[in-house]
Amino acid sequence: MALKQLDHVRWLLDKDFKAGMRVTGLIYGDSYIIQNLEKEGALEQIANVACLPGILKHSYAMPDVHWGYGFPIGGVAAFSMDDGIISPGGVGYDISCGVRVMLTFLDQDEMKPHIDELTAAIFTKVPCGVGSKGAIKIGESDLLDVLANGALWAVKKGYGTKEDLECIEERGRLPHADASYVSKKALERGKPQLGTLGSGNHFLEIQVIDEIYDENAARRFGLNLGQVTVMIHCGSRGLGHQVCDDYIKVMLRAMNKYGISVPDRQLCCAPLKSEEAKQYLGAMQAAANYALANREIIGHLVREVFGDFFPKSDLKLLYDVSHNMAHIEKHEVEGKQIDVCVHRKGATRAFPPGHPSLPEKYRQVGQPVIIPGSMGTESYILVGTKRGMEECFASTCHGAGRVLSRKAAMKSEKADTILKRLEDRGIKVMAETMGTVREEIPEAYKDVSRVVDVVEKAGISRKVARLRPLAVIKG
Amino acid sequence: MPWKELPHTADAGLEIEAGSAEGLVLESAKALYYFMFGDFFALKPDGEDVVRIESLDLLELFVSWLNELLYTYDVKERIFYPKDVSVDLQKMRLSVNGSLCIAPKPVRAIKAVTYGCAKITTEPTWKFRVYLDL
Repeated sequence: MALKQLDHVRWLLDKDFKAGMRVTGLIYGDSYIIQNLEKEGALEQIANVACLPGILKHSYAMPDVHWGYGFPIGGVAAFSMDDGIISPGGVGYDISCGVRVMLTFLDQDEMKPHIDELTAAIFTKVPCGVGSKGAIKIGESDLLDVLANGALWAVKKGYGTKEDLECIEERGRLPHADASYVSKKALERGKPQLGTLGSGNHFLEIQVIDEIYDENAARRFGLNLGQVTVMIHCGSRGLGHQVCDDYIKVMLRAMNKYGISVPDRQLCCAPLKSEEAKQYLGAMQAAANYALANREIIGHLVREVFGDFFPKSDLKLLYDVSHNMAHIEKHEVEGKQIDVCVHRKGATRAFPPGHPSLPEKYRQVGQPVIIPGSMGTESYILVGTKRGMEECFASTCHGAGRVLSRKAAMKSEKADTILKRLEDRGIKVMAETMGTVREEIPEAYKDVSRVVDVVEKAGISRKVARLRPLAVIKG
Repeated sequence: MPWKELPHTADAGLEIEAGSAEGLVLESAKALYYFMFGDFFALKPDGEDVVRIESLDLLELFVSWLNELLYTYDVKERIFYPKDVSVDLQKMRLSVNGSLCIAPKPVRAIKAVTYGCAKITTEPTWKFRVYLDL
């Protein structure tokens, strides 16, 4: 047993697990999660991250952790600005992949008679699937504006509201984005894909709030039992994938230049003070702005469809947060408030009550954290906590986390029986390809309730509400 | 088929074998496309293209090659089928002339070809193991 149990949900991976570890690993999980973790390569990946220069405190793994590439999915690592690094592999290919939740003023009974038609209308309106092209056409100057201004661009063009911007992390725009560091190839891939959902685990869901755990936080967030919500999960599409690929090549060369060696090439990196890091940060933030604009546009398309069915409907954005990002943030390390670079790869930022970067309306209660479940299972709204801020750089889980490979999932059940099973539970599913439905069967994932119970027991975030799916759109 | 799919919790891997570097370029392209589209071999070409790649080493050369194919699909909506492959192992350069074919509807999406746990060996045969971000 490589892990030392600290309490019922915390496990320590000691530095002697692997030569070169600079810090210990801190893993959040119950016995089931830890058993699954030990079966695959994620433990090795947590240790590999712990070997990176300038890492602070621990290499963290959230309870939805699983084997990724380079960093584990569910991995969090913060690096010193003085002697630390930034790694494109610590952010991932889908830069700023994230989730938003929009609140309707409808209850389940009002929605029920329209759910099939409304879902079909959204499926038609929001392009999804591999290589899907956007519902809006933009030229290169607009694309550069998107990369500079993110969701602010979308709002200026009428794809969203000013009120939305308050409820998107970083107010919908990462200020240090620099499109001059984004390659022509990335621009080419991004231009036709703005306003598209993509495929794989990306989805759009219509849900209903079926449980409230924290009345006070729910009231602050505007969540009511029986209320219909819309959840959108997508990212920066081909543009983000290309930025990551481009900068992995840059970092491979930078490692030679700066004399850095890493246990896995996907962890290639450059010192945060280097020119290469500056360029990657600029390009990564530009890709993140693309993702923020993408989700804002899709949200606008959803509003249009709801408007067709419910002319008086008004969907309010609860929050929009990424779970594949590196942010420069202020945190306390060894008693001092310092800037650090926090990589969250399949992990969600979760700022506590009082954090200055939160919108005024959430500042007293803390940041809404959105945790999507697997297809056909519940999702959760959590809230950030002081303990999470102090212990794990204001981070928490990002979803259920896979336990079954896609290959195994594909073999397990036919698409029509999966659809029937979900329909029997009152969940309508529309998908661009049936292969996605088979790969994304609920059993391919951990039980999301178990995952959020761990982060709540650990005190690094707290449950506010549970959302049950009514309809799912998959790419 | 000289390739097989490797299991991965969230994503997928491919292991491809060939008798030479040039053969591995061709077979790795076929493996990637087979993964994305299923049987694509009956497609008819509607254009020509050239891909040139320079790299630090063999692993980067082959990962870059497959990522180039994803870029071509994303931007041109085409499969690039290699006809003429030249690998310069001294200078780590790859040059491929090939046909462009209209891509069928994909059955599975690939975001990117990663370096995570990727490996290339040249003895006794050329073998390339790579994991895909889906």
